Amino acid sequence: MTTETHKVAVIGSEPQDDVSLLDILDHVLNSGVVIHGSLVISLAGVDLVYLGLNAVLTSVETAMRHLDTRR
Amino acid sequence: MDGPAAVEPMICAGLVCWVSRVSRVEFADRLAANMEDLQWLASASVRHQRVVSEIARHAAVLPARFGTVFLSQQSLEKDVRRRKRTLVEAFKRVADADEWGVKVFTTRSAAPPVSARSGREYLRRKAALLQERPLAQVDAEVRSFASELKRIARAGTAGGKVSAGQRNLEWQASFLLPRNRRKDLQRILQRFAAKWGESRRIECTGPWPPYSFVSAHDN
Repeated sequence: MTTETHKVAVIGSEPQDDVSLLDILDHVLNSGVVIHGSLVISLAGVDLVYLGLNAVLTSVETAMRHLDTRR
Repeated sequence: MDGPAAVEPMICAGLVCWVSRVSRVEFADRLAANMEDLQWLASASVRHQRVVSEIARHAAVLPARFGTVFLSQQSLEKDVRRRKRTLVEAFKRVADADEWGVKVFTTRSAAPPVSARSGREYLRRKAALLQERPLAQVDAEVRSFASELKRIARAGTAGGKVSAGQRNLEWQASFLLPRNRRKDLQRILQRFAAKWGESRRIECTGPWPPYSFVSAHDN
């Protein structure tokens, strides 16, 4: 369901909704990452992830589409 | 839980654990390095999210933090038994509720592009832009939007770090919202969207599994 009433977008309420990679990373990584059994709340790289993210977004999304069509 | 490996259920201390047998090298020994490889990070996070979301559609779920690896089935069972009470409490805390992400973007004036003489200076300035602004510095109208959302939510937390540097992002947060409050959420979103018209844009994503609300101290 994508509602474009006024300026609100509610995304993800239906399984077929396309949630952006950025939002996925935000939620999946928000409470930290476990590395070598230790909880790492703020990864050295995470704050800077966004800086380089745009560069890989396209290639990753293409890769994910390939993954989907292979199913 | 992740990887292209199959996901299988295991019963531990009366709870169902969904696990997949992943490469020890990829997910333990080299995880720190892989986390810096954006291509790897993005693919692995998307797979993680798909698996957790699919399970969450059928049952209440407590998502393990990304990168949680047990070296054996025995060590998983031992850990679940040891934390059983905490896990049961966490299930109660997130019962019949979902995580929702809310972002407010300003559409008035674009932030000036970051310019710098050197690569290092560019990164320093860009990192400064990523610093989270305290709520007190956020516009009063956005603060009142935030407090209305907080009132209908069971818990709330600052939004994700990854998108903190998105252009024109004014404020963001994640909320744990009881399912019977979804109409209230919709009403608040509509009201503020109507009020702000062209000056601001609201983005709301969800329902997410309760990634940010598994541990009590995260709230």
